Amino acid sequence: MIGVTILRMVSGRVVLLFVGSLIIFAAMNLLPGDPATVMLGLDASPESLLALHHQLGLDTPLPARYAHWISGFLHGDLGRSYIYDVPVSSLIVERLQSSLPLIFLAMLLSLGAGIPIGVIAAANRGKALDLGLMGMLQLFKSIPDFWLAMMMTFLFSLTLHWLPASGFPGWENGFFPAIRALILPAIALAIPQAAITARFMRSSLIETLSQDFIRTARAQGYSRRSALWRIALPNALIPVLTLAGIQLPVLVTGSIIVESVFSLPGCGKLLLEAVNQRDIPVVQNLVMMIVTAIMVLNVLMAALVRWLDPRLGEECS
Amino acid sequence: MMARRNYTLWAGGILLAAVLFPAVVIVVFNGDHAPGIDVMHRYATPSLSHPLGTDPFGRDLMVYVLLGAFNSMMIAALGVALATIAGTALGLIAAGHPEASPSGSTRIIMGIADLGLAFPPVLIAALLVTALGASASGEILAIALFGLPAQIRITRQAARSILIQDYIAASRLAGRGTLTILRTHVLPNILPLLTVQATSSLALALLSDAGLSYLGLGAPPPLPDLGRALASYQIHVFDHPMLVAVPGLTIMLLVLGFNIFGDGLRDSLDAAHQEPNP
Amino acid sequence: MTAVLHVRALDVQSAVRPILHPISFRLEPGKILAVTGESGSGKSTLALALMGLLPPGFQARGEIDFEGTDFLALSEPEWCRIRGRKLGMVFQEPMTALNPTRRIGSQIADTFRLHTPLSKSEIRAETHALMEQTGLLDAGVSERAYPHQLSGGQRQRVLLAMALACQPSVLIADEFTTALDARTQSAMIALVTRRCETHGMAVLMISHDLGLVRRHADQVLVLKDGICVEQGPTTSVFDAPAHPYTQALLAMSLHGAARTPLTPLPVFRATA
Repeated sequence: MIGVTILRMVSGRVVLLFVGSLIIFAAMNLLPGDPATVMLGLDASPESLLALHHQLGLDTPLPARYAHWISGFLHGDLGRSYIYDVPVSSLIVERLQSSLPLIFLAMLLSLGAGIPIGVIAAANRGKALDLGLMGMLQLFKSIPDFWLAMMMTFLFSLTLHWLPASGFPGWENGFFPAIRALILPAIALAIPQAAITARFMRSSLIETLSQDFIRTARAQGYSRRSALWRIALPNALIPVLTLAGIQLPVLVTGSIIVESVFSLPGCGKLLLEAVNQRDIPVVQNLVMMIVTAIMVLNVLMAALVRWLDPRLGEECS
Repeated sequence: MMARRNYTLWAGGILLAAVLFPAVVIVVFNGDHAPGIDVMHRYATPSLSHPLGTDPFGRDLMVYVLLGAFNSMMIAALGVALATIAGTALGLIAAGHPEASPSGSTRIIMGIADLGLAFPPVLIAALLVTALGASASGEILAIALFGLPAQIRITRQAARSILIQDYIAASRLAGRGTLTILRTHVLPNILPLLTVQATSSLALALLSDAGLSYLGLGAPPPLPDLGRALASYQIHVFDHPMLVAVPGLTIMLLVLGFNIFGDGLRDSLDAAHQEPNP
Repeated sequence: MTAVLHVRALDVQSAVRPILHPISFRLEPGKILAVTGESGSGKSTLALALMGLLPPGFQARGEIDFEGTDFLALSEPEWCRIRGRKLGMVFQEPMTALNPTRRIGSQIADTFRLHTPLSKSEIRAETHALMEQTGLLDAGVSERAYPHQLSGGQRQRVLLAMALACQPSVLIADEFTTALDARTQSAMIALVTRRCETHGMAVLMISHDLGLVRRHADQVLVLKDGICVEQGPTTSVFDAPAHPYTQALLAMSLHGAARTPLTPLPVFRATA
């Protein structure tokens, strides 16, 4: 029965992705501005413009261009970058080496710090510890992540010299140098999200602890502590997973900005360079790829939540 | 509800006023253009004439930062206003008749909401800037589009909880049209919730604005801007940490102000709900 | 007869006011004591005080003597060894009293896991037997079912199974049949009374259903605003209520002496 709901959800997302691809394509191809003019400069001759148009496939009708792009996208052929003149896919794959680990690490840190802090605050609800933690979280939630990144470079890299301030040595130079380069960006990215996670975890756990089945468990012989950890926490974690799914696009945005602060050669940097140089194939495919990745991960997260919460598995959406 | 002292509300309000009031004063007396460039007094240390010193262009840092805060606030407010109006309208339409199975328009609107979740503001801004170049209106649009899905969902959910009440059915039986019911029963009831939502959206919008303008995807110069200021001052983090600390702290205070204010609003709303109806 | 539970001058205070004024009663093995009164009279507070599960800010005083131990002097770990093993409790709201994300078999087995050294397979066998006794298997309910797949009556059976698992000497049943239809109600009561007879389990039954109280309780205790206004054997309380409040309560229902008893209607068993 879970399968049916998930299947329906997946088909819904496929339709949405199609609409999304149309929007991205329209933004890149219908709005004013001619990439050929940008590439060759305003004083380019009409002949060379025409030649470039042909070379870029800009002289074919729009539907054909869309069909060409999307079928290429589905087959992993993302076209060639106007600026670098290399396949877009190879550019993206190269940049994913730092972007993916960064987002993954930040998500891990956000959940790894946010969940325990939220549980501690909920377990000490109303006490000084809870109030102190909540105040701190409110503050962390309000910090712009890229500014936090700058302040952390100031402290940990420039003053204490613990971690590199910028750049990425690549994985081929060993695991630890690469991780060392990512740790500060990941922490900066994770702290505001961890604060949001912790606050959500706290209220979810408090809400769960007030449910009747906690009293049933206590009447059965569970101690206050084991009822919290073994009965309430698993239930309270389910909405936190949903939140993590929603945080993913926020982390993607944040990673693009934080990569810029730390000069990490990731997808964010690639996107910004492409935007500034109007490298349309790169922007178009990279945006499409990020949107697809977010949607796929959202569906996976929703499937996980449905699997964990049997009530959702059977209800029709 | 009003008799209860709401310290959170006050704390948030004071934080916001501390940043926004001087900003408005400067805008009223000096206009919103950036202070003049004065190369003779670059990197000045704090003094009476320049309370926070000057920036790499000799501009008064405090004035520049306050003007930046004002501009960020305007962009965030316009973006949130757009999202709130459009999202509320779409959310009300999508609420429809809760008893009936979802109609075509509901499905389409919820599809928009789902799609929006996958388009973080930086991607929308990237598309818009690639196609049209950087502009304040583009940034406002990006922020509005980002806020739209949450606004639609929240409005729809809140409206549905009202629409399933018995007195709505009674109104329908009395011959009131859907529009009248939405205007007289639903909207007034969900207004407090929408206010809370708008407050927390403002906090998010300010963060988005800062990030976008840091990346150069926000409003272009000459409007003073905190994110752009941070981008250009970043290299000075070691020799002039003040230049990086002040704009960032200003953003943080504004965001914190809205977050705390929003919490206070929510608390007083909950308190109002818990009190028995007369 | 020796009482299994002997309550002496128990009172409960909240931070601002007394919830329950000093109350004394005895629970005897195999007998049912009903606590009745209107909502807000302190019935549920009494139940929670006996379970040691009063909400924070509530303070119980007096003496609850259970087989020689005073509950009010127990430490939390000692409490956890008694709750679920010696003392079972069934709650009012079967819809929310079960954990929605866990299978019912596992929730019933929890009582064994917490209080017995049984192995996994022994626990599985015990759980199965318990589901058999409580009529869940007959209704086609599997151990692997989730609470939302069950009817209200079936959920209440699960709760009862959880409470009865370790054969407690006392069962506290807080309005546990109120949300059920009449047929399910009598089936549940039958399950409980059978336990009283076979295992000598004592029951503290909280109910505002005077018909139910009159049919099944041996003793009655009437609460009003946290004060025990009347207590005694069911028949004497129902036939000759002493306190004006009890008289009024009985007058409002059809079950007291104030009205002539109705001729019982013949019961038709539905054969489903």
